[in-house]
Amino acid sequence: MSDGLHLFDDEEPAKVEPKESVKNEKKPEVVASEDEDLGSEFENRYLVFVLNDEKFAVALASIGEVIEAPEYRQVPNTVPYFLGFFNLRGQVIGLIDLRKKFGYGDAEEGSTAMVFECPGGMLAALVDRIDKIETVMDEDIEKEPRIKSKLPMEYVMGVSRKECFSGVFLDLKKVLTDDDWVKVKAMGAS
Amino acid sequence: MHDQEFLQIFLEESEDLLNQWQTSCLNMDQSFDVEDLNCLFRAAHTLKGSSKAVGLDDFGDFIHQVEDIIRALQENEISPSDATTTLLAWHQVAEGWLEAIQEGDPFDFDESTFQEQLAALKGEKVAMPKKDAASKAPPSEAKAKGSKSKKKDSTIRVPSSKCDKIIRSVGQITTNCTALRKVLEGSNPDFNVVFEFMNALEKHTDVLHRDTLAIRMQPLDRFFVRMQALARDVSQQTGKPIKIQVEGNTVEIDKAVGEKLIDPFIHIVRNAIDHGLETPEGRRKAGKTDEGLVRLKARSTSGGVEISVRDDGKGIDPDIIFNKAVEKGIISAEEDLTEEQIYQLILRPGFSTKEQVSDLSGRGVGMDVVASTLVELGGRIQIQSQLGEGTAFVLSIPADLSILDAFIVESGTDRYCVLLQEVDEIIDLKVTGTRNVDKTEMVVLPDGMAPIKNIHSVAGRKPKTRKDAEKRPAFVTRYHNQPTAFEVDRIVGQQKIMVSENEGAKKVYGFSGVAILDDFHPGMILSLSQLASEYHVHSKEGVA
Repeated sequence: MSDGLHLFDDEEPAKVEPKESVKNEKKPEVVASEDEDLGSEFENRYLVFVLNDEKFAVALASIGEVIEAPEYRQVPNTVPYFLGFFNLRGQVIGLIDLRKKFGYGDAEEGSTAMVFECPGGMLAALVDRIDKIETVMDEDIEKEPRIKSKLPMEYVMGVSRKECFSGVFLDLKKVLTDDDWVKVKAMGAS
Repeated sequence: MHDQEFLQIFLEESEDLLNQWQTSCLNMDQSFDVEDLNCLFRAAHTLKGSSKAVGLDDFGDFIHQVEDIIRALQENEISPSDATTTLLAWHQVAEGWLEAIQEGDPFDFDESTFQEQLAALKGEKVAMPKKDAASKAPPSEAKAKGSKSKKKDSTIRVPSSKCDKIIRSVGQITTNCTALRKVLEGSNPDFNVVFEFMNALEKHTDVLHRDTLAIRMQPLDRFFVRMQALARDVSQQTGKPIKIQVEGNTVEIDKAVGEKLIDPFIHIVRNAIDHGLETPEGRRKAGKTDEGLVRLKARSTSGGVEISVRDDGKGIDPDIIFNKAVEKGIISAEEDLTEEQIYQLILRPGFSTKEQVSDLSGRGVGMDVVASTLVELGGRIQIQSQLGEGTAFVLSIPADLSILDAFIVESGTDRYCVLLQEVDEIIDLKVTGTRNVDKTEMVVLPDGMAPIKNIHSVAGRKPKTRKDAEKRPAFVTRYHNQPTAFEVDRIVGQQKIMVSENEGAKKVYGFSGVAILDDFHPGMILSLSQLASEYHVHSKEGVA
């Protein structure tokens, strides 16, 4: 009996999974989440990232985790901004180059990837860097804004011109629907 | 508002009860037994009680009246032969009703028809016109079609013995892990001991893996009951009496696979009775019994499950099929096809002859549903037929969809998986030699010429230039019995792969999904059947 107890004693630490390295040290506590209704903790909180010196915000609750740009395998017959798939702890995740998607050229060295769930499976979007997590109240977000941007307006949930965050709010799921990146068929197939 | 959780439990239980209802009726139809009637009564009674408990009062009232009829049957007030058809029709109503509840859709209950049926059964006990009830019954196949497939996240009922096995395996793994850690934390770990633990861990992980997959495996009995009910319906509508034999209903199949098989089998069973079997007069002329025989059989094979539907009808005339296919522009008249290849033509989209359009088969979906479902499942279909003797449809289906045997192949710098189940043979084009026909490189195989497709072109990349001495490995796959050869640069090895749940990867052209390979990187799974089908469809369009 005492032997058994002894054994179980050191079982606990073994179970702790190694934390994934988080590129940005400011706010590493980006926790996995699946549902929208996470209560007040995530409400009005946004993850601000930088892409080509522009600032964008996405709902914090929609982001599963933030990781270093992963090594990936290319997938043929997909759109150019779909880089390929990578393995994150046994899960296959599609990698998207947001710079390419928005027409800012290729992803830069030392990019960061935001992992999030899409209807077609998990995706990760490469961005230049994560800036901060910011709380923005609903009333400070201008919905259906009139702005000049080369982004299609359906991606834009709103803009804020407040001091704490001035930039565009994006709906990542709209930006990257799975159909979007698989639609391209092989040209030389037949 | 119903309490959602209770409602969910009720709906799960009701599935079993409805199944019991259907089985009892079918049994009573074959030969009347009081035990079946009692079983039916218990099912209806439980259904009534629990539906009222979750607040489904209208449904409960409906079942309550059905129960009255069953009680009348028990007291010999009405004859069972009259009642079974109506009871089966009500089963369809109940099933449709509960499905609507599950989906959150409104259900349009045909109260007047129900009351008519009730009155007919209660009132004129003898003069109850059997045909009438059958025709008023909702067409069961329309109900059966797509009913299961559109279900949301389905639940699985698992016998506790299966759970116990899993818990045992997890226990073994935990114990071994703990012990291994102890060894490794010791001052001088003995590698032999470490390897021993490794082996034990691998063994238990394998067992756990198998046991976990076994959760999804369900016996085919329900599937067969469904098919029997359908066969009975078609038999009544066509006026062809049949005898159904079922074998192997304990064979297990992945639940998701089983659900996908319902639609194809609806077509096969219906076709077997509607087109395969002769009319009673025709059968008498051919020296057969009036009753047609339909045999449903399942058996486990090394690669999965084989399910067959056999009839003892008139068989398929290959000449008629061939001519029809030429007429429809599906093939050209010069094509030299074997009998088996000709039978496969009936699975092609657009193959539906005028003679075949009856009220039963004229539902706009043909046997091509069978072919497309099998491609999706990675299965095969064989058609055997003997004129005057009968026809058999034999479907081979992989037992589960998640873990598959695959070859890992290299094409340029890319690595892909090729599923073992899609490969008929592996050839070396250097050995077999190739020839050029109309600018297409072909290889001669025993059963015909196979076009050679390089995986590079599928991936939209340029093929690399080869040195002469190199091997040219190629996988041969057959689509509708027509071979296609897929050339790769190198076959790296073979491994078991676990198909990822990533839905997006399944939609990429030329691939059926993605899996993690033994180098820990994802590898796309080539869909040879999709590529081969595209090729043959395109080449045929080119001809026409």
